[in-house]
Amino acid sequence: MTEGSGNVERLVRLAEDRFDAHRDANYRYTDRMLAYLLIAEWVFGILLSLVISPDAWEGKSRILNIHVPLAILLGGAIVAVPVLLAFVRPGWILTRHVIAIGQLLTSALLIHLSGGRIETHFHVFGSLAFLAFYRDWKVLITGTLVVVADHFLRGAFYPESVYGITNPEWWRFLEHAFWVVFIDIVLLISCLRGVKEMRRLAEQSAQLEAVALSHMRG
Amino acid sequence: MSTDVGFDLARVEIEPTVWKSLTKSQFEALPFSDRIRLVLERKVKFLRKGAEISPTEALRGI
Repeated sequence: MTEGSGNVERLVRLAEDRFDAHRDANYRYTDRMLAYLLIAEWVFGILLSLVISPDAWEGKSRILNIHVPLAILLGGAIVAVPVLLAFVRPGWILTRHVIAIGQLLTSALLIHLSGGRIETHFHVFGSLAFLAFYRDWKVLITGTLVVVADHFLRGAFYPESVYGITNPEWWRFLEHAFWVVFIDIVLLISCLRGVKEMRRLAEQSAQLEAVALSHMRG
Repeated sequence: MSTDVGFDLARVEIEPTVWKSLTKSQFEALPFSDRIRLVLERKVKFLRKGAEISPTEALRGI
């Protein structure tokens, strides 16, 4: 191998290493950020259940509404594994997919706790936008599958929980899925541009080192 | 397209004394290893608005 080709290989590898390091740092940062978000959403879900309808009635006796333990226990179960993985295995590929599942299940829980209010469905779009911080479009696919499966299953077996009415059209989940795919396309383009920008920066720094090296060699 | 940062034209030595002009996007479309090799071997000159600029100035402003 000549000195020139050795330097080319070294600088190409340097750019690749810098790109990988930057991408990994972004994965770790986003894991932590979303872990804190999940904890905040869990607390918010509990407050929501306490504010909206904390009480239920059994005859003349007032009892705690099922929504309160549901927000505490189911909400806690939904966020526990993703939050644990975010701190124990940050940057791992499975961590961000588990976080995506947890984030969209949190959306589903909040929709249920608000009685299927259409406004709470906007939380799904917020969740997908947060997941786009990873700049990994595959995470958006995982999140989307959770939304579509949740809407389909709850729409079929417990429609008032997701749409706030008892007799929605059977295809209502497809309408929601369409808008989710719409935002996915926008976020996917953003992810791909973000990755391209990271690669460009890594290559730029390696090219500047090549310039410095060429000056040193006279 | 002319820009205020980086370069808008690259002149690449494809064989001794034979130079070929590439637009910025054509240069950036070359394989990364080829771009590195051209810079290392000083076989590329960068121009902005017709005037030659240093490789550092050209590549810093990509």
